[in-house]
Amino acid sequence: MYPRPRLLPLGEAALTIEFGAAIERAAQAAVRACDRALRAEAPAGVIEVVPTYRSVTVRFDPTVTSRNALATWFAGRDFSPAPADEQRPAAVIPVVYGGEYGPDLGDVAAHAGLAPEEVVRRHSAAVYTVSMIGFLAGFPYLTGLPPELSTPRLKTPRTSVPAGAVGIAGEQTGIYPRTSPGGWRLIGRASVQLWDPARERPSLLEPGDRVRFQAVTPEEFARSGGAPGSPSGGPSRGGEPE
Amino acid sequence: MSASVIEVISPGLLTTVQDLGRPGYARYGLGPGGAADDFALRAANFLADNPPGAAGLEVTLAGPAIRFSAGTSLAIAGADLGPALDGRPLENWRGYMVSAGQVLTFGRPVRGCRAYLAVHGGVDIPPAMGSRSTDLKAGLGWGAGRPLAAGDRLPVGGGIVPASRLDALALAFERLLPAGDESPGGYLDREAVAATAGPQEDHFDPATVSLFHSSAFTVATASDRMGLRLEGPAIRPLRPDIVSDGLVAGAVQVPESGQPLCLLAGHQTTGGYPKIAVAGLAHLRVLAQRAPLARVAFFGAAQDDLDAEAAAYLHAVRAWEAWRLGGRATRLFRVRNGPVCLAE
Repeated sequence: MYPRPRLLPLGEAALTIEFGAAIERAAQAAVRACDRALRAEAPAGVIEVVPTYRSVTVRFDPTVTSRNALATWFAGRDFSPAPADEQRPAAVIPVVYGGEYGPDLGDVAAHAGLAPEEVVRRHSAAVYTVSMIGFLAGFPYLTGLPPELSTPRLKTPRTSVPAGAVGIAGEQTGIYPRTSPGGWRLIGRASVQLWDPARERPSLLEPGDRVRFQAVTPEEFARSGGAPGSPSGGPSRGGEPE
Repeated sequence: MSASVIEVISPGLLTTVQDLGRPGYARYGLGPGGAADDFALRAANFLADNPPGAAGLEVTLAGPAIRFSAGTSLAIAGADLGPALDGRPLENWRGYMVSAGQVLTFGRPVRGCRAYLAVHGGVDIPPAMGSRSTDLKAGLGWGAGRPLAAGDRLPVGGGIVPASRLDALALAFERLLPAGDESPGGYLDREAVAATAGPQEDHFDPATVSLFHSSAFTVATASDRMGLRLEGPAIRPLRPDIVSDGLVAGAVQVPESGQPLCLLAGHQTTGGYPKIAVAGLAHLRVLAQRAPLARVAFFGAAQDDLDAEAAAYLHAVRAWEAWRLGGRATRLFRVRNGPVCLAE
């Protein structure tokens, strides 16, 4: 984490405040605190607040506020983490691991030098934090993966990853909200609907939320509405893989 | 009025319903989207006597054929894609009255990439998350997020704007152009846009930054509403990837290949490539009109200069609505050494 946050230019109507160079806990805590302060105080002219792993991007109306005004706002605040953040209850997401639901579980196990059952045990024992939501509407980037489960992305991304697929990419884990191209190592499938425009808050998860996975059987998965052959997100729309 | 529809005879290459987008959801991974050239959508709406955020059609290169079920008024702005009404050529940047049963067609693209059709009253479909914009990737808007298809019948507000009013709007529009616009569609021919340093300009060595600002790039055919893929000299970053951070339209990302991607309205919310530069806000409309195989260049500009330019541009564009609502009572005056402001 930097001793002082850096303000990065991003055109005439946005800026990024960056708290560290890498994905690290202290920078993430500062991101959470900054995001919370921006939302609570809602400085005039701020249109969007996008927290990521180590920075917060703010889009603003330059006829209402300015880069300098926002810089002053940032300078007057301390983004030390609030301890309450760690107390939030974790959302529990049921997952069927392995088999046709998680075709890369074997690869992840081999990379870690563990049995597949042990990968499942460790992946579902950890508590994760939604560090950011990006790539697709509702796609959560989760940190907190046990380091030994860290596995690089596929060399060649799949052209179609089903909705609900739970994957690992480096030290991150995440869930595909809809069918899309993707290069993450797929270890399981969740039946949650991460994105639903009909809900008041369309995204199931919010940056800063905590998440835990619960291993379930294919039968339990089917009862909760999931099916391996019928992803809920409709056809793949092409585009860049994640 | 609600019985007024436009019927799609043929959809064209990529015709979508767009308004000014749905800001506020980027933290959930959904970008604001909306018209790629919002200047042209606002202009078409003004000329058709609509509020700036009314939904219109974004027409890409090869346009649709559309039949009007009832008499109404329309305007087309942005790219000149050869529009004609029952075979009679139409001009961009002015409003027309149409009769029930008339057919609007488009011909060969003449200038630019995206034309905007505004029909009086706007495309009147239910908004999704506060906007009628089509988001192809998130599946939002008309037909759960798809382009128009043959046989589609889109409800429009409808109603007729008198010819005298259409003429007054067109005359006013020419007077209310942003400073530096010599004619309504002048920006369609521009190849160079101003750009400031991006948040990761320091990921490139100074010679590479100079090369970027002094080179002309070609817009690749794989470009879309998400962004312009640029072909030209390799702009190689010193370090390939960054920890993903937030994106805006106009940001120029450079992957390891050295072929930049300049983001447009349909961009993703976050990205892991270093951003060498950000195109000026007042220049996004130029980028949105660069068709595949067109050239584009990014000359370096000081942030202070582009801040002033953006403020003047936004004031000018937003003044249209005040004129439309206030008519002749509203006049423009120029503050000494300052941007154009609105007077009561």
